Amino acid sequence: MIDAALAGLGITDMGKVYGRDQTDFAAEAVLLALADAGLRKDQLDGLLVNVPGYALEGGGGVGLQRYLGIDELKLAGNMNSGGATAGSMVQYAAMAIATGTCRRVACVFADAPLKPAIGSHQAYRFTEQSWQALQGRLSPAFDYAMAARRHMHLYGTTSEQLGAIAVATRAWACLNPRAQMRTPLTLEEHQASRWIIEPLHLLDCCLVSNGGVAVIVTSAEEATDLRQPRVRVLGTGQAHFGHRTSADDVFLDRTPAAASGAAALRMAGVGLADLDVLELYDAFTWVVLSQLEDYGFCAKGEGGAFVADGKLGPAGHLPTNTGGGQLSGWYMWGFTPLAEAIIQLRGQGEARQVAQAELALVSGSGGDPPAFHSTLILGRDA
Amino acid sequence: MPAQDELFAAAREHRFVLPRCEACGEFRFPPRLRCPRCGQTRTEWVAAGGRGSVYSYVVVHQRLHPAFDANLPYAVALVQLEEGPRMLALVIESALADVRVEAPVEVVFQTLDDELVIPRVRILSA
Repeated sequence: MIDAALAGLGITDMGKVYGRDQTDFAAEAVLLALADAGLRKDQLDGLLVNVPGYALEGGGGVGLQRYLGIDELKLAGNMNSGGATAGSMVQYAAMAIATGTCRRVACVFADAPLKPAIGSHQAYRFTEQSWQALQGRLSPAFDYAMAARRHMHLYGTTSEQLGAIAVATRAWACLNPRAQMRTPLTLEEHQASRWIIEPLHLLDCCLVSNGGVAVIVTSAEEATDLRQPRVRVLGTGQAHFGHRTSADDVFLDRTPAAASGAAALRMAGVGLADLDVLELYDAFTWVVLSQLEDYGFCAKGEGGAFVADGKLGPAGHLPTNTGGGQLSGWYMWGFTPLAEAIIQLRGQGEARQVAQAELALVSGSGGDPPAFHSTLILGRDA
Repeated sequence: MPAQDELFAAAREHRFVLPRCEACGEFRFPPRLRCPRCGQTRTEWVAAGGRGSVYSYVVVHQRLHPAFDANLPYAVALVQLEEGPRMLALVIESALADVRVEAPVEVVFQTLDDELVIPRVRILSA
């Protein structure tokens, strides 16, 4: 049994925001989240930091703590399990609260890979000297393209079906003033967009953003007295694959979403049919497709046909990535789906608010190829 | 990196070798110091056939690094080697249209300079 709540949410300016570093974005996000909850910084006693590929001055949590001017904490550190980190951090924060270690834990992500002269692909390019790099694997898109091709081979999935995900997600983004891409998108435009790594078009790939997002985790009881409608953490689950080098037939096909989702749903005591809104990690369209299959919304291999009718969009019956996701909203790793779930469950989604949004699933998927997974089941008070 | 030195030394002589755990017989690819199966580090380098088939593949169109400018667009295959491990390899000496999942491939050697000869693959015509 878990007894935690998300009491504060802070989102900085997002996208091509220049002249600030990751530390400053992280600090502003924490301050915004505290103000959102109605808490002071000296009331924080835990700080979990997810800043990719970069050690904050003084080392992760401590460096940000110093920058924020917080005298003393009981829990601090820099964490990274790729896109799964956000959900994992919330889980660790909830555990710290359940054990009495902490009362209020901030979880924060920040990144600033974009520079005025550096495009998205340069900003997220791999630089390691490895066998893979020698063979031309130099971008995160590479493994997802490999997985998408495998899916197409095994199940007949098409680029148009992947495109249906991009189109539905853009339709949500058009309703979100914070989204970076707010021009309606057609399937024809998706198909006409240039190849990045075939079979992924440009519009199968997420954005890259500068910015920061933070949440404040408290006990469920404390959250009832704070400023915002309470969003409860009802279930958490992680699962991670450590693919060995020898052949395994699930490689690039199955993801740890299955085990992660089952654990979170079991803890929350709910089923897939009870969920009102899905906030799925969507760094690439294929990631959404594979998660829908692995979570069990449709059978393995049927994801293409499942999404093709537009059911994920604003007019569909399975509202998914309602803020425009990472494909069209903004890209803050696992904090993109986490933030949008909080907004929906609070009823603060304005033009994009899903009616009767009481129960949400938030996913995080990371590692290239997808190997790390976290799932949160979040709920509002009835 | 040291764990790969043997592989590249053999490649300079146009020999294809794979690292295998001396303790449990597990192949390791990419080459690495410690066996993911049994945790031992003793390694033997065994001559491999260099034959396999495409498990999946991509075609890179985006310019990611100047080193690959001459190749664009280029196919990279995840190759299921007959010996068991899977190996990522740039596809050369082949038409892009011939790169398909399950297509048979063989290892070929590309000489970049006196020091660096890299194992790649080419598609075998059916």
